[in-house]
Amino acid sequence: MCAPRLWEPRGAGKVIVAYYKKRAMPDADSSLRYRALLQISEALIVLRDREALVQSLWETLHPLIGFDYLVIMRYDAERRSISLKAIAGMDPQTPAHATEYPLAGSPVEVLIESGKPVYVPDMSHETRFSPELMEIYRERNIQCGYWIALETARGIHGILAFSACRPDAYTAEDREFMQHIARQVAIATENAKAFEEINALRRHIEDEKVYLEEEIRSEYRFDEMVGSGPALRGVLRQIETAAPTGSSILIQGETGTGKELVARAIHRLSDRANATFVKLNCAAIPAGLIESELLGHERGAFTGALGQRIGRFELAHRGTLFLDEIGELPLDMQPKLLRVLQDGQFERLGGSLTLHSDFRLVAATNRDLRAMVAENQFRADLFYRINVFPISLPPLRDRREDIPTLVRYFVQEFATRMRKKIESIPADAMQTLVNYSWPGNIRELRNIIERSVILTTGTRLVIPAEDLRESHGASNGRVLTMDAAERRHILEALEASDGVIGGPKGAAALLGMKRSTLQSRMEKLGIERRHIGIRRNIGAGSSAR
Amino acid sequence: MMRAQVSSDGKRVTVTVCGRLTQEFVPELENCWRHTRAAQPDAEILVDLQHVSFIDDKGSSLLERMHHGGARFAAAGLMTRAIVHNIIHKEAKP
Repeated sequence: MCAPRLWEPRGAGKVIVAYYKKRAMPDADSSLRYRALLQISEALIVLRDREALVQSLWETLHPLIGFDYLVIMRYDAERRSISLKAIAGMDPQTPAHATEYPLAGSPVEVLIESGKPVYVPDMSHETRFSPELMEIYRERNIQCGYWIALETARGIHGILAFSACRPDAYTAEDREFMQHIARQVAIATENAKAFEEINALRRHIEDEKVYLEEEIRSEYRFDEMVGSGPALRGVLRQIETAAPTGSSILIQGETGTGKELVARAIHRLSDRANATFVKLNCAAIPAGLIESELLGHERGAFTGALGQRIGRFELAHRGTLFLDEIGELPLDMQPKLLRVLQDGQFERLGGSLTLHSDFRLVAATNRDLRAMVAENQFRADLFYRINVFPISLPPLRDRREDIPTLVRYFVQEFATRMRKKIESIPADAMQTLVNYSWPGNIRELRNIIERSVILTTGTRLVIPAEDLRESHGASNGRVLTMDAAERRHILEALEASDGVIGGPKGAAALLGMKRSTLQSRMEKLGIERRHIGIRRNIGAGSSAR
Repeated sequence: MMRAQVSSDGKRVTVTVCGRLTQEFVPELENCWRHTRAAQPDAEILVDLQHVSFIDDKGSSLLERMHHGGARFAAAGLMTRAIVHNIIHKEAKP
């Protein structure tokens, strides 16, 4: 029977318990150790932090095994280095955590090369380690140590080290027990490392999301709805009324009127603003793929389903789903959308698990859905489900008061981008822009202004006349009144004559009438010089005669 | 984003505004303006809007208040200059 060994505490406040060799009371000692193993197992399940882990180990093991330092180190095989990750029992002079040490000349090098734990019963007889390391051991009076690899199926990722300030501190049973501990600690530290990586990835993804959303906002200026006329103000009031309610919204308007802009404004003003805005253009996806785009699919669900794919319903959970061109949604997909809207439930293609998604639907269309319902091209139940709060966007020709503001806005945007200084727009050019019919609405206006800025070399905006030439003839099938047809014909003649009414090459001669007759007709039809689109570029400096 | 910087050359204080002057940034700029005016009540204050890309209704209202408070503006770009022009001439109308 060995004499009981006591030791002096190192550092203030550490609990010291007398230790008795297990031969005196073998059964009680084994019971204590197995209980300690159980406690450690329970602690390892919940602990993610290495510091907390080593502290728990200290509190559980210190009454059972004599050690003065307990260290968890990370092992980097590529760099052949070790770094201290957590230490218990340290005194103020212990080196800082995470300091990196070379592997060479350390007990860990011996451990890695031999593949076995390293036990040094008496450091004074040790010759394998570097002088620098031996000096550190001497400073801390470390006389005995046991180094065990933290190893899983992926290999060695760390080291658990017990150090004592007396020689021959550990028996064979002690060391066997420490190896049991190390096996459990290995799993816990690998989990902690994976947890750290997941957290880091999650933070990175969140940062990327914020960045990408900012990029989208700055690219398309979705939160800059330009204009102050009554038509736009009416729309903005509707948005402010409907956005916070969470109800489905149907945005109706011609192409190029800003439907997506309104949808994003609704999302931003809703209580889902911090969640994702998911968009799908139903016209842009082939009918055969739209179901998979919305529902998602499992691997092998169909030819081409090479992996699992999350659908837009799932992506939009807690956020907003914007379905643009909803009139193009295939008929067979409409009941599935209706079910998701009503129950929030769906299954991925090829899947049997029922999933749930809570999203707010904003839909948009430039088609007459009521007429489509009447023609059985759109389901009535789905129409009434999405048409809870309709918002109708006026075409640009019904918002002519906003055209000057829009023009200036786009000119400033493109001029800045192209580093041009454009300071004015000729009045006649602006009037032409105001009078144009804008079949493509704001998108068309934006494109024309962009082209104009490209073509402008001076400080006065130059607008290509051909871009604003109204398509003649009843391009949309409408029959014009006699006055409208005559007005158009006279304007064509004035354009051809560069605004000259009289003379051999004037408009009157082209039309085969007297100058006075033409002037009289012009007065009757309200044709003024400002309505004339000159054949040359508008606003290039020459004036109409 | 919006950024406002205040500089002084002894005779004049310049508040240089960059970015978008929209509703979410109005309180920040208004706070800056109030502090600047309070710190130098007699100084000439120039609000430089040459690097402002967009001004919404709330931003425009703030500029109007600043104009009431004696601020002068430097603007570039058709839209910004039109807004400033409207503010100044609205003020000028009886």
